[in-house]
Formats: sequence, structure tokens, C-alpha cells
Amino acid sequence: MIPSWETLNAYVDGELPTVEAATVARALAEDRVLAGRAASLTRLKAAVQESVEAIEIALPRPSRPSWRPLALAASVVLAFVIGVLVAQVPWQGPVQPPWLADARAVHTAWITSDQAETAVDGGLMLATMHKAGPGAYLPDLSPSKLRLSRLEPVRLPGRERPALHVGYRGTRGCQVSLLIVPAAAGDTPFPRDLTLHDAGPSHGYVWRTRSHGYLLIATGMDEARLDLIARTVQRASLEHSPFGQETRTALRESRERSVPCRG
Amino acid sequence: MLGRGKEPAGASRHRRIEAYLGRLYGYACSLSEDREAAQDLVQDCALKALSATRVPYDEAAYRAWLFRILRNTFLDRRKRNGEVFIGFDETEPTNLNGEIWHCDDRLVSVLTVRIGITKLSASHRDVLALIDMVGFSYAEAAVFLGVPVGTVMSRVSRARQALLMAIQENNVQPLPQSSKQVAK
Repeated sequence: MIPSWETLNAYVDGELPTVEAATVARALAEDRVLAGRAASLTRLKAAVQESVEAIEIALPRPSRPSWRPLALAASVVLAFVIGVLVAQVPWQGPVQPPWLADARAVHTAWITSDQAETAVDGGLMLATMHKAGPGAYLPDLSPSKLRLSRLEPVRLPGRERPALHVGYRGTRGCQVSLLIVPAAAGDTPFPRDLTLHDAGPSHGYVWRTRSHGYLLIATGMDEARLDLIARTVQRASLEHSPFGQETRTALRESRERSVPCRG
Repeated sequence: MLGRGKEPAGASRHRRIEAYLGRLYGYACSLSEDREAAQDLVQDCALKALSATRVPYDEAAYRAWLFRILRNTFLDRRKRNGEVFIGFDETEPTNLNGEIWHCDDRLVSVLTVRIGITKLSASHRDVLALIDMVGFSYAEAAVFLGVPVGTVMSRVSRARQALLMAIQENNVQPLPQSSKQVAK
């Protein structure tokens, strides 16, 4: 009996019942051509197994720390002590400006919505940028694998001129918002230097140029990666220059080292 | 199968996934046909697995669970990006006539296989990756794909035949005739 091609494959995969496998083995012993085909299949199977290239992949950090009762108790005591100390001295940390909460709301609404992506072409970009006023800077974050997927004017409460919401979307669940806010007289000013505001998993970087305030917000993004993006965009917004080769490489490598975003 | 027995946590969860990273990457490559996208898929899959509240204790169930996360992540991304995906159940290529392949098996190497795999249909790549890269048995692959064991057996044999044909075709290419030769 000459085993079928299917049977020969199943034999090589060790998937035949004992009796049938023995029958195939006898046939192979008696037929050199058939034995050669079985050998080719075995070689093919091994080559497919070995065809996977070795690669180093950074694993995400554990999302849930393993709480132990002692550590929890220590945290509670520490929090209490810090609370008492803080209550006794005047607060000198950065004041949360009113527009920060509004900007976060815009970002949250975007990342939690199922809105279709804006098809951003050159014409739309120019027209929308015009609304944000002269001097607005729109960075290209493609070196960090973040593509422009939203460009919309948004009204922030208490502001006459619309701000610009620029949304960037990555390939691993990352969404970054950049809000470009025209400067307004009598408003709480944006800080001149790059300033970080944390709010749970969301991190917001704020700074200003002569004509605009900028807020860069992301949720669940690798902190080192977001920090590099914020510093890069801030510098570029002041200089109004595209990223240099070194910066592009740094952004790409930072992204490769980072873990995917968590919602 | 979920959550029974003592569930590994923290670092041991990492170690457990690390044992599968190579195979996850191989399967991701066969699904996406793109190395960078494959890396992203594996990271996404690992993130979901590490964040899961319940993890299969049994190793075979864990493996199937892990690869299902990867496959579902791939399909979700395709859907989210509005990309057209032919799917895994498309009609088998018609050039396979069931003839047993006969060719010099010295042509079969890791390099020729890598090239040959890129010529296969999604269905063939899928089943070959599951059996030969991931190491599923036919029965495990059948449960994973939701098809009878006989279908897996048939797909594996046809996929290997298609792969061998692709390897053969890649290696027997007529040399291009130069214009000078034609002129003569």
C-alpha cells in the first residue's frame, strides 16, 4: 500500500495511530522513493521551525503590583505623615491652571470615542492651522511611529480664539494629543519652561512659545518615551525647525525600547 | 481551565511568557507578513496576557490561550484600521492538483523556506505556523481554528505541497536573455 500525501504528512507529524504508523513505516522501508519524500518532509518541517528569526522583544512591566499587607500599611502611614507635613507649610507646587482640565477633557473625549479618523491633507492642514493663528507649530511625529489622525479646532471655555487639537495615533494603542492654544491677554499663562502635570495614567506636558501655549497629553504611555517626545516637540516649537537625523533616530529607538500603551 | 491551580504572578508571569516569545513572534510574522507589525502584535499580546485577571494554569491551555490572544489582537487591528483581510478560510489555491511533490530536497533550507512562506496563502501560512512553529497537534489546531481534525490534516498537507512548489519555483528561474543575445 502506498500511503497518500496526507497520510505521509501526518506520519511525519507523528499524528497517526500506532497501527497506521507501523504500516507507513513498512511501506517506507520497501520504497526508496517514498522514503525520500518522507525525508524531504521531515527536512521541510525542521526548516519551517528554524525559519523564525531570533529577536529581542521588550515585555511590558507588570500592570498590577503584588500588594503585600505590610507594604500597604507602610504606605498608609507614609501618606499620613506626608499629609500632616504638607498641611503645615504653604503649598508652593505648580497651580493647576483652569485650561489644563479642559485640555484633558478634550484628550479623554478623543481617546474614548469611536470617531473616524480625520483625513488630513495639505489643504485641510493649512486651513486649520490658520485658525490657530500665526506661529503655531505642528510637529511630524512619524519618527516615533505616531501618525497624524486628528486635526480639529476646539473651543476651550473662556477663550475667544479656538485652540487646535492635534491627535497622533501609534501602532500599539498609543494616542497622543497636542493642544495648541493661542495666547490670550489676561489669561493664566502657560509656563515658559516644559512642565509636567501628572493625573493618574495621564501625563500632560505644558509650555509656551511667544504666540501659543502647548499641551502634550498621553494616557498610559511609556514615561521615558513621552518625556523625549515632549522635550523634542518643545524645542522644535521654539525653533520652528524639523527634527534632525539624530533626533529622529532617538525617537525611533525610544519607541523600540518602550512598551505599548495602556488605556 | 481558567484560573485553576496556583496561578503564577509577577516575575513568574513574565518568565512564563518569555518561553513563548520566539514562537509568538513567528506566528505574528506569519499573520502580519511584517516584522515590525509582528513585534507590536507580540507586545500587545504580552500586555494583555500580563494584565489578565485569570490565566490558565495548565501549560497546553495556557499556550492555546496566549496564541488566541495574539490572533484576536491581529484580527481586531485589521478591523479597527478598516483593512480588508481575505481571511483564513479562503478558497485553496487552484494550482495544487494533489500530485505528490518530487524535487531535489537539497533546495529545502531555512532561507528558501522563508522566501517560500511569503508566497503562501493566509490559510496555508496559518496552519503551517500553528503546526510547525507553535507546535500544536492536529487536535489542538482543530480546536484553535474551529474546524475538524480532518480539515487540519488536509490543510497541512496542501500547505506543505504549496510551500515545496514555491521553493521549487523560486529556485528554477530561467536566466533572462540580454538584448545582445536576442540580437544575435
